[in-house]
Amino acid sequence: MPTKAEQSDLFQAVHGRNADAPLAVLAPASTADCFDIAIEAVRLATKYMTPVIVLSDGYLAHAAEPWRIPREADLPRFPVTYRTDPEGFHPFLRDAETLARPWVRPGTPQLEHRIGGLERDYDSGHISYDPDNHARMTKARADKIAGIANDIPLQHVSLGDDRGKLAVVGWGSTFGAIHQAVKIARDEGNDVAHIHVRYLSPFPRNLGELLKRYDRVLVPEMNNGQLVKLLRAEYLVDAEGFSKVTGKPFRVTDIVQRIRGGAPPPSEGSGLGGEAG
Amino acid sequence: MTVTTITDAQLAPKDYASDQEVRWCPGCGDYAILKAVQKACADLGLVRERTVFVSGIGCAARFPYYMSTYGFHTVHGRAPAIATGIKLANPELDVWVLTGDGDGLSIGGNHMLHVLRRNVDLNIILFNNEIYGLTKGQYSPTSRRGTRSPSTPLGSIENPVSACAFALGAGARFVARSIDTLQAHLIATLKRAHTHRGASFVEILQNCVVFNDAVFEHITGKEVAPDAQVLAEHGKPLLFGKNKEKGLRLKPGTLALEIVAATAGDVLVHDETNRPLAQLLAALEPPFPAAMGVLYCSPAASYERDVYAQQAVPKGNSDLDALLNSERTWEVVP
Ligand code: SF4
Repeated sequence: MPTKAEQSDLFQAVHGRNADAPLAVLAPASTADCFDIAIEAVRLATKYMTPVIVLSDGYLAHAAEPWRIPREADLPRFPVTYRTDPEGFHPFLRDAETLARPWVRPGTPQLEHRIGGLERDYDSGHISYDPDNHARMTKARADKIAGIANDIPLQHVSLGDDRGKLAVVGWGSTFGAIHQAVKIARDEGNDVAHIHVRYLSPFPRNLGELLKRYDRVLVPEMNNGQLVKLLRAEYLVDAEGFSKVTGKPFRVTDIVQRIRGGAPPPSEGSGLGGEAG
Repeated sequence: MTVTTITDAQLAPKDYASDQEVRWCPGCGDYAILKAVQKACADLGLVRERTVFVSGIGCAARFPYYMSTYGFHTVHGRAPAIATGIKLANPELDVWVLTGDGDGLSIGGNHMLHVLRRNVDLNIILFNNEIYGLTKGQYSPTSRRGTRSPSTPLGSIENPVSACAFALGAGARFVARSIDTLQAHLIATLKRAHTHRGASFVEILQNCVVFNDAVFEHITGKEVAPDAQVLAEHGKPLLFGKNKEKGLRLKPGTLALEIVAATAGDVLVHDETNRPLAQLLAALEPPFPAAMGVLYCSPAASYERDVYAQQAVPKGNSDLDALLNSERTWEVVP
């Protein structure tokens, strides 16, 4: 529903590219976070030479919150180095750490080369339909994105302990509602924690291990259950979905009730993973 | 912004060829176009590192791989967007767009419209073979009514778009047409297009020998060519026929052309700055001859030039801190 709040494009962002070629996906947690995450996206895009999707939603676009204006001098800097030296230049050589190729600006003498969407030989960069090479290149593209996990913060717990009975895992604009709900539920004495995922592709490298430290994982989302499927597929955790696809954001009470073990009001959404146990 | 023109007079056409094996079907018209472009590059003394060929998807789109310049084989129909970015990033680069009737007028019709309307200084070459060659012969937006193809087994019932009429409608300031087999004319046309500042649009009638062979035979065939083509040259009368015995004139009392004897006193003289005339010429269909040459050329400020001119004017808030702290901002004092 255009202009309404929804998180239904996560699959499209993470899996929507042609030809088994992954990319990086980030999601801001709040209106203020949009500023920082945009900078982070450019850092990753230029360092790893990959498209990066910043997945916002209608709720964030329409919301407002106080935001401390940063000073330009304090903003992170990550200048791109352009290759100019023809000595030993090869457009398809990858950086050992990032697997990215050199940045070369058209106009640089003696570095002329052609790039394009057809499969290339891993070494020479010439168009190649060799079967083994295609497998190797497909893996290289996946490894490049997977390697970003080593360059992003570890997943932390926003509220509560890093192990226990229940983790409520969210992403994007549901941060506020989930956070408040977990706070209320904790005040009531429930053993529950809030984990908010900003890096959706690749996931932070400790995420799977962290989730396995909880008896239950609950994933509220404004879609029909997308992050929950990614987590289940990636980590084989028995995460439960909690969907709301009405075009309206979660209410804190929806989530509190679900944490307590009750069913949400029928008109406000239905659980994907059955009743909370 | 000052654009310096540097040329490299030392290079021969073969120096613009890359080391890649050319993979079009034997006999494809694309070979002749590649040869003509390489010759035009050498004649113009283009500096390889300052030259960029950008393409979308299709048979024509393989072109950049065969040039020893910088090259980008990009997204279907989106070469104009990427070429615009390249030109804006560095206006000193010489940027060419290679496209086809599918890439440029079907999936990329919208991009073609806007790049022409914006008048970005690009050389846009559209290979028109009236068929989808790469995907094995389906009808394209330039295929004529009745074209039988795997996707129109009973014959196409769609009306084709004329590439040059489209370009003129989109506001292009340079529109020309040539033919793959007309080497000398093609090279001269490409060189003219290159000289033009702003978007130059060149349609090349190109024979797809495998899926649409001889589709332009009624224009290009040796026997019929003199009667089927009229060469538009600025300042010269629009004459055609074996002995240039026929001419075009405005049909009295109308806004339409008619064929008259060359001896008729009022044969039109081609004026390439006259847009309505260009539109009449671009739209000519049998029994009229097809118009070749520079149909329209009327330079105007190019997009990247205006972008840089706008940026050169100092603005109030050019520092980021001042900008972020302007308007409705406040400080929370603890
Ligand atoms: S399919 Fe047609 S246009 Fe494509 S390379 Fe072959 S002959 Fe040329």
